[in-house]
Amino acid sequence: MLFKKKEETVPQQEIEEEDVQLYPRIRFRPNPNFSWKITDIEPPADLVEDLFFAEDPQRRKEAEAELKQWLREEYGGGDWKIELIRDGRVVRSRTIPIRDEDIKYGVNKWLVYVKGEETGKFYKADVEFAHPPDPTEILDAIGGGGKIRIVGYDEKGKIVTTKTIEINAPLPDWVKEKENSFEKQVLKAIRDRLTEQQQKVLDSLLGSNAPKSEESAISQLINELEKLVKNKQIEKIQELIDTLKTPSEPKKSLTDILFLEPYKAKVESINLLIQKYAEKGDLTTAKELLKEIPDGTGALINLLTAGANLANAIATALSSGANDHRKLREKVRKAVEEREKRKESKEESEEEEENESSEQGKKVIVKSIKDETGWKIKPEVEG
Amino acid sequence: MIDANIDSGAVKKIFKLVKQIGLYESIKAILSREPFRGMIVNKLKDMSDQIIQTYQIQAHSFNVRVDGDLCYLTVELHIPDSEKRKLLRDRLHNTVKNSLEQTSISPLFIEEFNIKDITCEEIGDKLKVVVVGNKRLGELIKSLGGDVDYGEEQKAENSGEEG
Repeated sequence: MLFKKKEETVPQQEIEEEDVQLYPRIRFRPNPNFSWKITDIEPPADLVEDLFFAEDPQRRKEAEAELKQWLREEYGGGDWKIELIRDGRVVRSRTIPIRDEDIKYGVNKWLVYVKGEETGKFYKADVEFAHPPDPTEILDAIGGGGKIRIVGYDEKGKIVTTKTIEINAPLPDWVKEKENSFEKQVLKAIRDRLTEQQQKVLDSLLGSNAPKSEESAISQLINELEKLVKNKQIEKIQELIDTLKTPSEPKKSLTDILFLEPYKAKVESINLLIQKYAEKGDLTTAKELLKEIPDGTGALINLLTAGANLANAIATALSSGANDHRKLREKVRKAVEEREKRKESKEESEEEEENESSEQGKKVIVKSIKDETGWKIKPEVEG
Repeated sequence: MIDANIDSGAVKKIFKLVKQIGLYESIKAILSREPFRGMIVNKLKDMSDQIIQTYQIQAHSFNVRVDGDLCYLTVELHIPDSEKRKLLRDRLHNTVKNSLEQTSISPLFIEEFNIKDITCEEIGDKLKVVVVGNKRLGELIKSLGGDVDYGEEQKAENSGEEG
């Protein structure tokens, strides 16, 4: 099949005579996890031509929809790629995914698995189909229903598609039998394993020379736990002793920090300076500095002045605090009143809003198309 | 009925909360609470059992496939009796249409799950219903559980099958 990009539809003979020839090709993959494979499917030439070359964009869309429908009906779901080839190179392509249809293309055989009710495991049925089987065929072939998984394989045995359906009929007898025997085996294996594990745990806890009787084993376990608790208690006591032993720094009073320490620091600094000047031989400056060393009177005056200042500050703070407290109480009272008022008005407006939203809320406009085989509903939200 | 014992005030409150956090998050939150999850799952099971019995559904399947931002939820119902098949097809149309037009939650549902369209097609002895929405729709179906195929994700589980 050949194409030539032209404005009008050209008869087949004329296209073949053109130098530039376009070939349509279709590639397929079941889903994006697979790689694309070239198929031998020949698409309807007029639709492919319209898909790529129709002047009217609407016609292109229609052609794509028609091609999609054709692929869906003829070959089923999956990803389809329509390509135009010129001189072995892809010049145009369009991917058409079909997700609302079962995959049929590329499937070599369909196998059926039945889910066991007890174990929840799938059991393979001894049947094989060359086409996707319908429920009646499955029912006849496997002799029952239940949860069925239909798996499609390609020619290399790779899974291409799976589908689970529930056939409303009792589980086939062969599944029940298989499940029973399997169930029994599993239960026995679990029980054996549990006994073995329990013994191992007990041995590791009590040691290899542990007494065999159950009573003495338990008392042994209690002793072990008691030891652990005692050890833990000793550890705690030791921690406490260590904490108490740690030497703490001598406490300082507020007077020390505010008055005596600055005084001491001042005296120490002047002493240091005097020493430096004396070492240099500048005795005059050293003597002058010696006069600067404050005696205890200075420290006392400092202390009294600072104390008086502190007392004043506290008194001011207390009196203004009392005023502030009165003001604060007043403010809080007003704020509470205002809040109450706001709350009331908000509730009223919320009620109004609710009424409004229920009356003037969004509405759904439904466009419905019905024909002999079914219907389509396209909802749109308005408002 | 689950909703039979809930008064209108509670429904209003629930609806207000759902509007605030969204339908998807609400449903997920409700499903994470065991008593509610059990109630909802049982309710859905009862409903499906009744539908299966009434329309004599021979087999059914659920399939979720994702393509980019879109999610396709496909439900197939095999009904050998053509009368019952047609009856369900028509009733389904009316139910979906009325639910979308008349329920207050439907605008939320359509907007949040970006519902493009809902189709029902009669192919042979089966009714095929397809809902096209966004990825969240697939996530919602997933959180509801049940026997649903999730496209290519299913492949990984196949290793557990018995030969």
